[in-house]
Amino acid sequence: MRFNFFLSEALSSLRRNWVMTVAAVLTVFISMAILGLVLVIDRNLNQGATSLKNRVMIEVFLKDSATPEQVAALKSRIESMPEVKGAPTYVSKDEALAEFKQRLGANAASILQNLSTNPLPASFRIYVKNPNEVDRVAARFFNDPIVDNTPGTHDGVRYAQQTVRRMLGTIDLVEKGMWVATIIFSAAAILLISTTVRLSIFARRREIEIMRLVGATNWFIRWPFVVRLRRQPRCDSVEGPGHRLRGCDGLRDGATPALRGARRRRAGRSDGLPLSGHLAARQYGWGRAHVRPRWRTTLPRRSAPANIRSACVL
Amino acid sequence: MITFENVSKVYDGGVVGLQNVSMHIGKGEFAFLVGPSGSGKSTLIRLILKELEPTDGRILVAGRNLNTLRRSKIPLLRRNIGCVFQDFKLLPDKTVFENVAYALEVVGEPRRSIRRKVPEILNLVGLGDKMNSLPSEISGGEQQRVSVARAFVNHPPLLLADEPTGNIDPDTSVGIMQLLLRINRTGTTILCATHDREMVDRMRKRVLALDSGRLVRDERRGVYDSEV
Repeated sequence: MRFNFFLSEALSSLRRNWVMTVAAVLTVFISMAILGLVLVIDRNLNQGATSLKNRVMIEVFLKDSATPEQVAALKSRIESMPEVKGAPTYVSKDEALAEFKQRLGANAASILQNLSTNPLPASFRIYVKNPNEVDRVAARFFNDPIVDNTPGTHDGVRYAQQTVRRMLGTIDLVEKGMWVATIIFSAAAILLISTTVRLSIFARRREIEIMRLVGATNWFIRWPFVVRLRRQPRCDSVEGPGHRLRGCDGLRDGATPALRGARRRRAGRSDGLPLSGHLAARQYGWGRAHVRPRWRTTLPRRSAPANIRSACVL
Repeated sequence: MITFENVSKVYDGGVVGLQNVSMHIGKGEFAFLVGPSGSGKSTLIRLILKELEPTDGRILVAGRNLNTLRRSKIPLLRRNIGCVFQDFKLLPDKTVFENVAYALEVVGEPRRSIRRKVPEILNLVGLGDKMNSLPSEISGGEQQRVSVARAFVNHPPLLLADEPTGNIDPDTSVGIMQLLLRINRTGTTILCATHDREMVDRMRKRVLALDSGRLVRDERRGVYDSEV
């Protein structure tokens, strides 16, 4: 019955102030939608950036003259480098050719017909943990004797130097930008929503004052507002609904059960005015009414029954 | 029922609301609080409701020290104090019935007993036939009676009235006062702040007079002005 009361209170106030309601719903909707959109974009960009970063690769080409021992030695040297992610992939000459064929597709046969030997070098493919270190790692192979460098250059070690650098710069900038955007939009959403809520409370400050005077607990006053808000965010966006209101999930039955017992007993007797207040109070003791919370939920106790247990009944 | 011990209230701006007021109002008493505007009548009433905190001194209501009463218990205090105000303070978009019922809903009264009690008290104040009117549709005197009904529907042991007849013509005021008197006869303590000289003189009840925050007079069967 309490819930029905709150619900009907909420509904009737929605009906009476529908312009305000629509404005509030729209405000909440739009601000949450924008925030949600920003977060989605941020999420995607981040994912993109991460996968790009993961794809930064160093390819080290080996001389055909390298002996298997030398190759194995290089491999274990690479594996021991702390910057390197996982084991390097060794691509033998044959594998390189097979890959090449695959890449050429239908034309492969005619081109490869003319080759008497396999011109493709074997290689190691190395992934680094942190793309910023790609330069440093690559430089270690510049002077390796088994790396297939044309004398005077480092063309045996291939990595997208400029591209990587530019990409990293861009990603960094975008990430910072998204941070700022997220903060701004979150702040905007919070401010907008809190203003809306405050406005709707302000519009009812007289009502609230009266509720306080007749001894409504804070939650008793809040419930209709909460129900009102509960109904709104159903249409809100991705990030919308729960978050803002999760704080209200842990509502308890306010202070009322404390007096309910006493009231009920007293109700049996009050027929008009005969039973005087303080007499009744004396009859039923000074507080310490039993407490039976109606809703048990998870949040920390706000209007905890402990307070109520020693309720002050005059 | 109400005890003030050297209570002072100085507002933030330095305005003195009450100055060293000590008094005691016993159970079942009917007391008038008189004094010119700004003499501290409303301050005193708001202190009893714990709407304000005293700057100094102790306030006991029904043996409870308000200074140490926790904020979370204020609603419980107020449920035991009925309040009537000069401007009625009725919810404008609720009917007479709903306004009175609200005070019961707040304390979690079952709907069945609300349906029984509200008409009962409204009949008592003589508004049995206006239950479904909105406050805007009835006269000031009637609104005040609704407000009295709301204040008393819980049968609180204490009823505070802040200028209950301030906005009402003299004839209607008499009705309101009689109503308060009847409530008082049931044992409810009543403290009534008022400007209504005639009423106070006629009722011959206890009079507490305030002047610029000081309690200047306390007579058992007093009148509005000092008889000296």
